[in-house]
Amino acid sequence: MQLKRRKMSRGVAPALGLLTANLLLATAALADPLGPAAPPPVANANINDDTETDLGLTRVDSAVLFYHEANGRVQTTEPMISVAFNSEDGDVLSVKLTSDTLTGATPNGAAPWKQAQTFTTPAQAPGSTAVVTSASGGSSLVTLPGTGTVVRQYTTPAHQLPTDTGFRDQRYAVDAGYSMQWSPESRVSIGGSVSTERDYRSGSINAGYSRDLFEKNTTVSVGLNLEFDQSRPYFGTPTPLTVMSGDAKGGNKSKTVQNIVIGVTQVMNRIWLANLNYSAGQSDGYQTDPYRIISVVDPVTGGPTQYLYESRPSSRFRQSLYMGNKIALGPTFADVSVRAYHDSWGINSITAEINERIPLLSWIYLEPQARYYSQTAATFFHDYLVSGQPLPTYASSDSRLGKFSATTLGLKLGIKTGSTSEFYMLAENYKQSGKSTNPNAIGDLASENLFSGVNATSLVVGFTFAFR
Amino acid sequence: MRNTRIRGRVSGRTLTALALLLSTLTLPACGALGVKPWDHDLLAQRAMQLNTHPHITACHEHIYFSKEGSSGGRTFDGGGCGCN
Amino acid sequence: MCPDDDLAPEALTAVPEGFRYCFQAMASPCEVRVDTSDPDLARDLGRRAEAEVRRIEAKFSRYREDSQLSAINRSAGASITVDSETAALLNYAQHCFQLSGGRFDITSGVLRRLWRFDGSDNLPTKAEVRRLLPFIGWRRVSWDGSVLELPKGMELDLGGIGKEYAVDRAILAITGVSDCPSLVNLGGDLRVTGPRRGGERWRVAIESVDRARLTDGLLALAHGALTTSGDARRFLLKNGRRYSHILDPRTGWPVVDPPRSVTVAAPTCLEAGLLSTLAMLQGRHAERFLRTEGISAWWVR
Repeated sequence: MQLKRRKMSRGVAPALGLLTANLLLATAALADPLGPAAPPPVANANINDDTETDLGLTRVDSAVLFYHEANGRVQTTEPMISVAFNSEDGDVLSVKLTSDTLTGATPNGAAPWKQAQTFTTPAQAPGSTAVVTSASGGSSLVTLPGTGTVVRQYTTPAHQLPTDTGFRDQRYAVDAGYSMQWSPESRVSIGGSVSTERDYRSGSINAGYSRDLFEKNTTVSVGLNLEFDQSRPYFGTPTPLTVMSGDAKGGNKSKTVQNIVIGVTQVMNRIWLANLNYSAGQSDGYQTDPYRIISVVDPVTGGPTQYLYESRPSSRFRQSLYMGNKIALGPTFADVSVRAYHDSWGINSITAEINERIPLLSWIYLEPQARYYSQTAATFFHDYLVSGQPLPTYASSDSRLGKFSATTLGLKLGIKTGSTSEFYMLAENYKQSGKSTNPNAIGDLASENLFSGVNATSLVVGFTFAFR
Repeated sequence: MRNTRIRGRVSGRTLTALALLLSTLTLPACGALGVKPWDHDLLAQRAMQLNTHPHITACHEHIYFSKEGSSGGRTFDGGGCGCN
Repeated sequence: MCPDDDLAPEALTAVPEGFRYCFQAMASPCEVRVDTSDPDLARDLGRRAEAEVRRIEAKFSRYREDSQLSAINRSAGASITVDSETAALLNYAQHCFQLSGGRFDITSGVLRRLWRFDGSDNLPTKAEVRRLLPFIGWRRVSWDGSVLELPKGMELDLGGIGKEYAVDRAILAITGVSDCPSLVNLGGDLRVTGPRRGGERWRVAIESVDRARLTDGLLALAHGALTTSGDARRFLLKNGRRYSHILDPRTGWPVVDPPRSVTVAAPTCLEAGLLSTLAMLQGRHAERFLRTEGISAWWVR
C-alpha cells in the first residue's frame, strides 16, 4: 500500500490557537454541575476566520481592469492572469500574463487658446513608405506646398485642451518569479519581466532576500531591481526643444533603472502589523516623452507662436519612505499607509491611504477605500514658455510633473465562494485637481484652464481559486 | 527658475536621514515588541496579509505610475511600460 | 504533586503557597493548587475542578462502559446524533487531523490491542499491524457536524485530547466563579489561571525520562499551560532498539526516532498537548518542527 507522506502546513501553532479558542468558547456555555459559570473572555471568535494557507496549493488569480477617463481621454481594458505553484516547503513559482489595450486622447502638452490651433506631425514612420493613419479620425494628411512632403495635421477647437487622439496601443507583459525558503528563517527570491508594445519595450530582473528575527516578530528584507527600457516612437525621436514639424526624426532611445528597496516588517502587538520600506532608484537615459510639446507664447497676448518638443533630464534619482499597517479592530481590518517621496527632478509628494474591511456575513465583506495624494512640480515644469526669453535646458508642460493633488474614493466587495476562492470587485473614482486658471498667466491665457489632470473611473473584477 | 528646496516639504536629505534614524531606533526596539508565538492567531488571518489582492495592487501601481510623478514605495519603482 | 498511593477521596492540605486539593481521576494523580488563605474557598474551587474532570471522564472515557464514547464505539455503523459538546470535540479532532496531515487521528485507538508498552520485547508482527489498518483512519468516518457514522470495527479514542480538555475546562470552571490564582494539574498536564498573588510565578517540576533522576528540571510558570510528552514509563525494548509509545496512525508503527521527551508551553492545555504530540509525531524532525513553528518548548533527546 503506497502511503502519501503529506507534510504539515507551516503555521500549525496559530491555526491551532484559533481552533482551541473556538472550541473552549463553544463549550463554555455548558452548565457547571455545582453552579452557574460565566463564560470567560477568550480570544475573539472573529467573523473573518480564514487562516487557510496556500502551502501545497496551486493558486490561479484572474482579473480585468476597466479604466476610463472623462472627456474622451484615455480608456484601457487590462485583463491579467497569474498562476502560483506553492510547494509544501514554502517555495513558490509564479507567472503572470497581462494584456493592455489603450485607446483615447492624451494631452499633447500645448496650452489651450481662445482660437483654434493646428498641430503637425510626421505622417510616416522613419524609413517606411507606408502611411500611418490615426485610429479615430480627427486628423488629416496634408501635402506641404513646395516640398511635396506629406504630413499629418490635427486641429484643436478654441478653448479646448489640445489632445492627440493617439494611436490604439496594445501591450503584452509577462512576469515570472521564484521564491524559496532558504532556511527556516530566511527566504530568497528571483524574478524577471518583459513588456512590449508598439512603441516601447521593457525588460527587468530582480532579486530579494528576507530574514526573520525575534521569533518571527520581525522580518528584514532587501530587494534589487534592474530594468532596461527602449523607447521606439512611431515617428522617430525628435531632438528636444526643436520646432514641432512633420520632418523625419531620429532613432530609438533607451534608459536603465536601478532600484533598491530595504524593508522591515514588525509585529507590533497581537492586532497590529507594521511595514516600513525605504526605496532608492536611479534612472539614466532617455526619459523625455517623444510625443509631447510645449507652447511658446507671445509675451503680451499669450498667443502661441511656436510649439517645441519637450526636454527632460537624462538622470533621475528617486527616494521614498513608505509605511504600511494592518490593524485588526474588532471584527474589521484596517489598512493604513503613508508614503513620502522625493526625486532629483524636484518632485516631492505625500500619499496617504486607508482601507477598512468590514465583514457583512462570514462570506461577504465590503471595503471602502480612500487615498489622498499631493505633489509639487518638477523644477523644469512650465505651463508654457515665453517667446523672447532664453530657452531653458529642460522644459515640460506634462501635468503629471506639475503641482497637483488627487483623491481616490473606492469600494471593494469580496465574496468568499469557497475555502480558498474569492470573487472580488473594486469600483473607484480618481480625480486630480490643480490650479485650473492662473490669473498671473500672460494675456488671454489667464482665462484658460491650463491644468490637464485626469478624472477617471475604474473597475476591477477578479476571481481567485486554489487547488491541490 | 524655481528653487529646488521647497520649504515645508520633504527633501531628499531629510528623507535619507529620517530613514536611517527610524531604522536605528526600530531595529533594537523590535526585540522588545511583538507577541508570543501563540498570539499570532489574528495575524494568521488572510485579511491581515500586507498585500491581500496582488492584482488590485498591480492595477493601482500601474495607474498611479502613469498618472502621477511618483512611484514605488511598496515595491519597485519602475513601471515597465511606456506610460510615463 | 500529590503522592499517588493511599489517597483519601478528598484531600485538602495546606502548602506554602496556599492549599492543595488532591483527587484521583483519569488514571492519574490530580491536584488543584489554590493561592489563598481561605480553606473553604480552596475546597470549593477544588471541588468544582474535580466535578468538571469527573464529568468529562464519565462522558468521554473509553474505559467506562456507560460513557457516551463507549456507546458510540458500540454503535456498529449506525447513525448517531451527538450533543453539542461532543460535536465540538469531534470538529476539533477533525481540524487537528487536517492540520497535522493525518498524524493526529482519534480512530487510532484500536492499535492498543497490539501495542502494549510495558517495557517488554513483545512487538506485534507486520501482518498483525496490516490487518488492523483498514480500521484506522478518520477519512473512513462519516461526520457532518452533528451526525456521526462510525464503521463497524472502528473505535474513537479521545485519549489524545481528553486530559488536556479536562484541564482547560477545570480552569474555566474555577475562573468562572473566582479570580483566585489557581493551578490545575492532571497527571503532568497542567495550566494556571495566572500568576500567583504578588505576581510571582508557579514552580513546576518536569518529570524526568531517566529513572535515575527524579526530575529533569524546574520551570517557573506565570501564564498558560504546560504538557510533557515522553516515554519515561511507556516503551518497548527489543534488540537494543527502543520503540517509543507514539504510534503513527498512518503506518500503525511507532514514530521513528522521536525525542525522549518534549515539554511545550502554550496558552491552553489543549494546544500544549497537541503541539507536544505533533512534535513527537515528527520523529527525528521534532526539533525543526518546534523551531519553525516558534513554539516555547524544551526537549530531551
